[in-house]
Amino acid sequence: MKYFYSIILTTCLIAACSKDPYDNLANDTRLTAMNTGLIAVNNDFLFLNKVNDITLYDFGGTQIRILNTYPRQQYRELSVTDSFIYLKGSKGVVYSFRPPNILTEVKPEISLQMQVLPSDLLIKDSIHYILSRNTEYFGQYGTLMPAVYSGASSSYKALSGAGRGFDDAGSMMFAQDTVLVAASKNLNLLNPLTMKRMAYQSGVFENIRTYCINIGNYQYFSSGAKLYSTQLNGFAITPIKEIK
Amino acid sequence: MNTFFKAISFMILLTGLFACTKKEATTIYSSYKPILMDKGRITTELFLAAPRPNNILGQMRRMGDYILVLDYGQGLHIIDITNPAQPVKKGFYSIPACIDFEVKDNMVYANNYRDFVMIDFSNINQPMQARREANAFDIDVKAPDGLSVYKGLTDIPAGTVIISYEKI
Repeated sequence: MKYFYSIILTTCLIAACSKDPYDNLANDTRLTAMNTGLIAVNNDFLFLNKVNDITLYDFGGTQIRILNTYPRQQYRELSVTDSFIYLKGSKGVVYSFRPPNILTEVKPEISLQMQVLPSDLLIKDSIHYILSRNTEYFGQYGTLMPAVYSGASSSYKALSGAGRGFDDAGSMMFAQDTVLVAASKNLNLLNPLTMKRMAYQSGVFENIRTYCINIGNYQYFSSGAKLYSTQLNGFAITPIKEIK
Repeated sequence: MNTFFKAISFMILLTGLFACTKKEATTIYSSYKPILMDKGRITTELFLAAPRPNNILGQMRRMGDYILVLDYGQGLHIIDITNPAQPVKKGFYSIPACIDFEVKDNMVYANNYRDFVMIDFSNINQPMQARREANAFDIDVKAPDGLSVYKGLTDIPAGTVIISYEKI
């Protein structure tokens, strides 16, 4: 009988001391580890995420000239397009503002018209985006969502029903009128309006964030220690090949 | 006697159950180990070299007929895409502790550890440093998977810094 109690006791001790396998998912920062946001450029400006501020420069050959600075404590990372500047704040909120596309000093009252995105677009603080025509695509840990900016209402509106979930939407780009998403080890080709997946190649990338670039008819990807290229043909992807 | 034994066992059982209610956080360690460099060399080791094997690739930017590909913390691979279907590695430009860069025309804007540097690639065979701003950035080079490095690998000798990582 005493052996029975010993077995029960041991079993209970093991069960009580076992660790929750989900304890650390909240600390998974793979998406942001290599997305430092120190430096960004667009057609007209250079942005540096410096020690004390975000500094805006204009270009002039080998010279650059400071146009303005913004307190850094509000922003940790930045990305830019030709029309928008995205500053990721300490609470995981994306702001945007539009500097004039001329090489004159940017007035703070013009440039700091911040726009807070709808909260349902922002689940966690890892934001990636691409810009295509009038639609922007916001991705985070689990979702890629197209949204349209309305200048009249100064707000973004998500395209109804067009979100798409990914395990790990690490990198995306607009290429040949499609949206390409490298998520986990897989490459997805999506219809840009409906987010419907039109083509898919699985297991092509390493299990680390993949980066991509579109040049002409070709698309290039970097993943871990490997570099790949492919070519789109409508809604089809030619087999990805490694660049040696 | 049998009742006494049952009572003792039950108390031990309860004690055991409550003794382990406080769960300790599990640490998932990185599968990378640091690559170190003497601090004094970080700002002097910017140079063009022959093509080298990839280590941890990051973002890519186009510069004319070339793609520059960041090798995390080490520098830029220069890929010739004159024939876009047959890209060819042309060289490697070393920038220690470089974790972010951008391209505008023929200029590369990058971090060189905590310094901001501009490198003029107008002559792809002889890139020239055009500007340096010391201590512009407040960064440390973290493991590319974002995880903690094994404790046994975090002892950094004095006078050195982590510039990159490699697979364990």
